[in-house]
Amino acid sequence: MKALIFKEVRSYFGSIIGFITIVVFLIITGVFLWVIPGNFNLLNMGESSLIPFFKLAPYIYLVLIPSFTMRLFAEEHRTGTFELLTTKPITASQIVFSKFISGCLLTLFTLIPTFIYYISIVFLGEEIGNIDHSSTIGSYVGLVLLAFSFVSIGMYCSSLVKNQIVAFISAVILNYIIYEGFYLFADLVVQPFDFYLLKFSMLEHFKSFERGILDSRDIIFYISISTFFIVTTQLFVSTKKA
Amino acid sequence: MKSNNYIILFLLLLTLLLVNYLLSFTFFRVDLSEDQIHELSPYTKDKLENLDDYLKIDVYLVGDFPVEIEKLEKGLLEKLQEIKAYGAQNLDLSFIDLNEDVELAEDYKKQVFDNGNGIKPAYIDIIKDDKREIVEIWPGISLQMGEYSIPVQLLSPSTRDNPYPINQAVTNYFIDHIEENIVVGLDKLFMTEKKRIHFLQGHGELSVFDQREAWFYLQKNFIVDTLNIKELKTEIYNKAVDLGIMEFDSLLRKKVDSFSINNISVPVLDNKRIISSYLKNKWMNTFKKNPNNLIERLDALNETDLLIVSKPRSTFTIKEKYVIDQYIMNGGKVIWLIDMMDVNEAILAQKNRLAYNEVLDHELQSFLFKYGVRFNKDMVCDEQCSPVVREDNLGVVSKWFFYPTLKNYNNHILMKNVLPIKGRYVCSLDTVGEEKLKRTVVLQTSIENKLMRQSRIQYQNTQNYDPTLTGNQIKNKLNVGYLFEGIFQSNFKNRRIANDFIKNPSIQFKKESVPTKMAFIGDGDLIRNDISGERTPVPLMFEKSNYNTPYYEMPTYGNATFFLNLVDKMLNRDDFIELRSKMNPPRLMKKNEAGKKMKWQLINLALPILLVLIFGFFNLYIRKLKYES
Repeated sequence: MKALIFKEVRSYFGSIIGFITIVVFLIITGVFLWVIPGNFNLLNMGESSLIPFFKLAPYIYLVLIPSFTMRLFAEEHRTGTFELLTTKPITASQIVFSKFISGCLLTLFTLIPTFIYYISIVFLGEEIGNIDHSSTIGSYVGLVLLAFSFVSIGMYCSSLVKNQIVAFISAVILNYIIYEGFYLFADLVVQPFDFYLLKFSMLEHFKSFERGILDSRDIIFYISISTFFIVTTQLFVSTKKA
Repeated sequence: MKSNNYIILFLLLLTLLLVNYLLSFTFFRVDLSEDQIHELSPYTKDKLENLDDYLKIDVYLVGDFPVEIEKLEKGLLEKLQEIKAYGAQNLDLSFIDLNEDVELAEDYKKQVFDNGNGIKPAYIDIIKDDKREIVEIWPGISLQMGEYSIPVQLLSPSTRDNPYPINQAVTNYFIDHIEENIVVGLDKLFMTEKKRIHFLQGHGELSVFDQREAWFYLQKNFIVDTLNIKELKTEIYNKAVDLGIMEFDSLLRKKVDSFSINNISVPVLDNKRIISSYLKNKWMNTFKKNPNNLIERLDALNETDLLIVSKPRSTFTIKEKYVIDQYIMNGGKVIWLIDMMDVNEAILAQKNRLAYNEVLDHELQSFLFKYGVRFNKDMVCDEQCSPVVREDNLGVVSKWFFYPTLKNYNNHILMKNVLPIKGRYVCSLDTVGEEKLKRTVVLQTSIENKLMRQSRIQYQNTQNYDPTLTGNQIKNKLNVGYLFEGIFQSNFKNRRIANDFIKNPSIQFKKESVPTKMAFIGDGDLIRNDISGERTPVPLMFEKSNYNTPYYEMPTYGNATFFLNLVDKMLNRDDFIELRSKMNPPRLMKKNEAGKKMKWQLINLALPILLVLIFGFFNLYIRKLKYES
């Protein structure tokens, strides 16, 4: 399993495309947070906090993560290495799980450079270090949980099709529906159903995290999403393997 | 996929839904922010988790606003989200932008305003790029449950002609008080029984007018009233009522069709009830002037949950003391705001008269001594003090040592995140005996202090009072406020009391109290509003000397907050103290000059990318090494 995880990560960094994606992610985030004078601008806010970053990051991950995950299975299908994998003495769940973990590792990797924003804000304070550290950490925890859910969704989409682009697009759409779609749709629905519909939306479950509040309901929701898509992928792969 | 896989998936989905649903009943929330600023108080949570009906909250502070107002909007939204998290499916938030539909806007506003019973608008003065703009906002929400609807005003209203600016202080005040206001609204909606607070009268205490701000705050949560232990004797009372009726009849007979009360003329026929009660009170007050007509009512304090004695200036009769004593023995709670000495500031203004600090003859010293506290006949001078506006209109004495700014150096909950207290002619307190009591110091002076006995007071030569020159050499803090909790001993344990009291069958004398609380503050003026100019009361949080000048924007004193905390402490409403003690600490950013801004932009754009690229090359290099070998 370890070998599988390493293989995935290495193959990602082996291609120049992988780096380009990460650089593009960083440029977009950086420009939104530091240059464009909009809602997300950290410098214009006048207040030391990373909340705008946590508001922006889900939208960026919504697109970025499918670009990691699209290749997880689709690539194998395309090159025909999937048949090779099936002959190896590993179970379907091991395959799926190691692919999920490699996706998570890549996501965590993209988070590392954002600590620079954090450090900048620490130094930008009128009183250096006057930022709510613990609540920022809480928000990071939420972002990681959210990103892992995106990974599981992306992986699922990738397992469905042979074409990477189709996998990418379908993952972005599915991500968006679950992230914001339910939220927007809830507006059109009458009470009390709107409440339950809202509860399917990741955006709704991310609001508390933004401010550094950990709510057990939110954590369970994200874990459920990941579990559901991992198991679905596993069932799908195991039928193919058999 | 095989068909039984679908069954597995279906079962999985069902389990996950069930787990999510069931665990939502026993959820926990951890607020990681410093000081838990987002977390609601246990009181609020309890209210929201036990909603037995559907609660709808309409929010009117919605729309496209300038940044300053957006901050209010955002603060409110965050608080409401937190409230929603606990109210869950029994609570619905709806955001209503009154200006959304231009044609119907006026109608909506009328509906929300509800003839002054609903939300009132506030007009905000915004100055941006030298342009002045007056923005109308509706800073309120309405709580609706069943057929009941309670409006909650979150920011004080103003008119278009009298707009006020929004600054950091106003924003913070607004945000810090959202929850408190909503809780008050919820209490109203659920018709929670209100406790009764009575201000003692009859010994020259401060009037309602003197303490109107405190009254205003208290009335939101309590039934507040004045109270006299001495009332008119029954026969005198009946006489007053008769006289009132007589006068009313004669008015009617004269066919007067209007009648003036306090210079406002009221048509007789519409207001019979008002007029008859006015005439009744008029006669009663006439009779009250004669002390022989008055009698101490034994049951005067039966309905009181908290008694506030604020700056008495004349003697208490022994029977009055007895009534208060037995009230305490039966678990009554009292806040004593007592001055032992006072300065008549009006005399300070007169050139040809000498002003002294005089001992007030309420004779409470020995009475309170028995409860374990000694009010000293002295006056505290403190190096940390407030300015005074001279009564003779000759400016301001910037350091008036008799106005110490009091603090609590042990960070007691009553003073947590509360600004210093402005003291006015404060006396020092000592404690004596009584081990059964838990005694907590709540207010202290600084270490640079000095005690004055009777002496001449004048605006000039204030160095005579300066404690840094001739002060307390031990450098200890003086205690000027105490909170006592526990069992008190009666003042009348070994004393005789008038026969008609003893023989009264309704009295069951208690010599020891049930556990209760009393607060002793050595400042009678704690909640007295200063008057600026002719008749403008200065809010307790502002300094009189710079009120209505450009400096007054930031609140200076915590008298009101401290007092409200104290009241809540006495009435076991500790959750409200916690609510008030939460403060959103300002986390401001440096003002960036253009050049520096560029620097930070560059760092944050280039450095992360550089980091990734370095990693990339490093990765490539290792690969190369690996394949070469």
